[in-house]
Amino acid sequence: MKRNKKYQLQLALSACLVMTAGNALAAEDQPEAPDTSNWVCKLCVVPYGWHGGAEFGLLYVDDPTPKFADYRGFDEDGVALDLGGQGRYIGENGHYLDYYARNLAHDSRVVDIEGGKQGFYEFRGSYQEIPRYLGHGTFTPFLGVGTDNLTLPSGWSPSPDAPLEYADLESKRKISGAGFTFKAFSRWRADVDFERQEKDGTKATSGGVFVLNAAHWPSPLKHTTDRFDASIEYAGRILQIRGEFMGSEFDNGYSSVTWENPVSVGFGDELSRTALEPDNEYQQFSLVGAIRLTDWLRFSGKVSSGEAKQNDPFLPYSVNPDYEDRPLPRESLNGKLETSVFNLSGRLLLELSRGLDLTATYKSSERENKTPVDVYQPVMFEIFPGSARSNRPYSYERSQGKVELRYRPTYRLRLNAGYRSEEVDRTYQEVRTTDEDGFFGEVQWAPFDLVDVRLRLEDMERDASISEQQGNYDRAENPLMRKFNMANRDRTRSTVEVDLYPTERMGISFSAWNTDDDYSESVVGLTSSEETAVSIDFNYALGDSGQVYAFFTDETIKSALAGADGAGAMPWTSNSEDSITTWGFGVSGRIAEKWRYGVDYVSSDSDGEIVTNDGNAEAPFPVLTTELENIRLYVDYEMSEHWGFGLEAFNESYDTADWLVDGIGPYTIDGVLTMGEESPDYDVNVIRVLAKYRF
Amino acid sequence: MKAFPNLILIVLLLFVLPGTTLAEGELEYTTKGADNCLMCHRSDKWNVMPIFKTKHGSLSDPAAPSSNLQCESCHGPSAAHAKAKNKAEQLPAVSFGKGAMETADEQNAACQSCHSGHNTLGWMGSAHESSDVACVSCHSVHVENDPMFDPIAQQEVCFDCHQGTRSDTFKASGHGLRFGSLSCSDCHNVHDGNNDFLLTEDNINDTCYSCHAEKRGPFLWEHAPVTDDCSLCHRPHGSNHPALLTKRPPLLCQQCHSAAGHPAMAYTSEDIGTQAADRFMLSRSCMNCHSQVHGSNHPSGSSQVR
Repeated sequence: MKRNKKYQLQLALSACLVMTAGNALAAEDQPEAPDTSNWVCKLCVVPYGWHGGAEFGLLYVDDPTPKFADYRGFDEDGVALDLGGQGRYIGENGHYLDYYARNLAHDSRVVDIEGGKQGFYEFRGSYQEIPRYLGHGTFTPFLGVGTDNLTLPSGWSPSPDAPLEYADLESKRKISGAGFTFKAFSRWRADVDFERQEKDGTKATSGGVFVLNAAHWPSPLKHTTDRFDASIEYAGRILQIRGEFMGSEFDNGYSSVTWENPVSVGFGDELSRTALEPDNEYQQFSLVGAIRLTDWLRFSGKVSSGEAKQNDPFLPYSVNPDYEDRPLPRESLNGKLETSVFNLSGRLLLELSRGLDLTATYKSSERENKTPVDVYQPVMFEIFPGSARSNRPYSYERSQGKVELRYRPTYRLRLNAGYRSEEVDRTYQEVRTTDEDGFFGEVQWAPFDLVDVRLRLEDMERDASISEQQGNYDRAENPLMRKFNMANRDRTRSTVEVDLYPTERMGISFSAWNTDDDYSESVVGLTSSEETAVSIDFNYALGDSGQVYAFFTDETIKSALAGADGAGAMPWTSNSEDSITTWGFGVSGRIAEKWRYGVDYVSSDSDGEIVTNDGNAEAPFPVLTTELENIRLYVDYEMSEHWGFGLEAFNESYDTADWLVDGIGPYTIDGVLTMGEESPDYDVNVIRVLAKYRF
Repeated sequence: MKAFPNLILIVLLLFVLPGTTLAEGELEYTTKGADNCLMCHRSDKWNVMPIFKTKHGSLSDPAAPSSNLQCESCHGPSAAHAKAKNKAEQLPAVSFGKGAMETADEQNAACQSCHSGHNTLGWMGSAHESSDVACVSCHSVHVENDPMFDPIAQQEVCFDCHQGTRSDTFKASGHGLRFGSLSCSDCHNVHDGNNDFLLTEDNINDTCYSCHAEKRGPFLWEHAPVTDDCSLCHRPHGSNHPALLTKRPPLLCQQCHSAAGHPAMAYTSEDIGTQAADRFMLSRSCMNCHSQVHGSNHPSGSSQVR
């Protein structure tokens, strides 16, 4: 036995010696850095001063709708200014200033500026607006829209003849940022960044009232989120390490909305109040690093620790004066979350440059909810006291591990294989622990210069031990219910990718992937889910500055659900299938030396089918459909070295059918006052004329 | 089992030994640096001169390649290429891109000799690293404006491989990627394997809270899946269902909720038009009443209705 150990030790030492020799040889291959004092670089032409461009012109939009304007910001019919540009100043002493601007005259404007002295310090500033238009034919009887007090007109009653006002459901997010980087020495840097996001406007919200009735109303948005990031970093050849701090604070300008109940039954529920999102704050410290111990052994990792707090004053249980004095267990939640992450990756290269390497990764993370648990005595629908309930502050602890062996026997072949596992521990939920593990393998093969093939397979199994069930926390759920995120699951994933390069100018990519989740042990709940997609991309370079391209993706998302009206009741099933086909093509190039042209076309069609069988017969719902078509044509003319002109025209048509909202007016559903939203349709033309100045 | 340690050693030796055969020919730097290279490569055909409009082309930053070994900072000692009559056969010590003989790791080593810190600290072991993605698969260093720094152009580069995500951006509900409101890199740090799914923050929820901080809580009445993983209910790249939901309510909710009464009932197309079913099925469906699904801080909001 001792001899064997000695023999093994000798073998190991031999291996180390061979590796060391190899290292030395590799090091000898690198010549010493040359004397560059006579490298004058007279052909290096740095264009000191300003270079870049600016675009300005007019944009004509024909009959936009909220859905068309969503994110784009082109919400008004007619002519508008269009401004943008991108460029850079380079100074001889290393000073520089970059700018990027887009849609300056629209609600989706973006400006980025970055400058400084390269290699020494950098400052940056940014501003962006993101407009959202979410109301498609929405109406409301409420007065005071945009505030936290919604009232009904005097004498109003819920009848089809009752007056309604058009309700804009719009919001705008304004994001302002500023930052500074200081590079004191060549390997050190310090960064500070501040960002403020403000979101103002209205969104649709709803509330349930007695008995199983509801009302929809426009809720005010006045959110401000400030974020501060600071870090200091050392990046040496062997060791790189960074310490980070992140602080974030959310402030809601409205803590609640009080609204007159349009479907009141008159037992004290004439008025209701809904809590909006409370203010919160979060801080996190992180240490991130990587170390290259030798050419064949490296580590990288991250450790972070954070804390979130929320302590907004509680609203009273009810606005009903009958419950005015009902005592709360505390005045505010004193909510507190502690988060932590520990992540370590190690790589052992078993060959000096090409060949075999082993990577092992371990990550553990925790969300520990330290919010105090109390007993609350809710008032249901502002009318009657409900049964006492304790809050459930959910905590999670995750451990993930991965070992991957990567082998490259030849330049053209790479084989990967590995094992992955994840364990999740939860509190206050039906299943305390789930364990998931499985294997994966990948082959990447380039049999010729013109072909690249990649195959990947993964098979995972998740086990939610029934013996680990902690009890029924969620109000008498069917005992056969297995919530899909913590149910037993077999998952198979496969991917095939083929890249072909028949000529230097042509590229064709084919990819197909499938994820098949089997929850067949779940009697009630999600029983299966499958996603499949096939894509083909084609590219051909036309000369030095043009191209032809085309793409196609067909995707199917299927799932099956089983339910039961009660324990031991007749089971029912429901199958959903979403099919999406997206394809497009484009051509761009030069007509003559000074003319450029381009055409882009995209079509995206989707169908959503839902078939529910209540145990008696299958009954399909109407198909949910969305059809999007966009065609864009443009021509650019370069008049001189500095001046050019562009003309762009595009048309986008959008047609949807959604049986959940189409034809459902504010008073259609008995007992539910909606905002009468319709699924959006539009056909919009846009013409843009631009002058382009280049300097 | 006793043979296992020996097997490890044999495997080690098998893969270590060939390493010694990888020694390459003697490498030399050129005599004049970039002036050697640009004698040929300054022509429009090679399209490399715009690099002098970028940070890599700076002659005053002591860390920039142009201030050091110039072209050979990245391409390695390439005197042999400069001297060769048939330059296509004698490539620079390190060449980049699709036709390069160097592996992605070898190409990336040139970039990482400078870019080893900042947002690339977690590159090792990341999904892109283990899939052999080279820096130049995405970044264009010789052009005036690298598309990866333009929110609209960036996504076209990502879609070259992530073709399904391009399709997602055209779906009925999205994050505005196709309009440049958001770019892929707003949520993903593609260099960093320390975070789940190459995200900018530790996990999915923390990434979502970057913009949706109002969902962070903690709330008095939490909704368990919300605290676990936003993607249990939402598809962040795009969905055919409103609010990026994975499927339509009530089915979305019935995946987890089966309590006797209205959550457990089967709603079919035959039920449309009946008061008993419409209020649970149409318009905002379950959220007609349970609008506070992300959590409620109302002392009477345990059912997430207010």
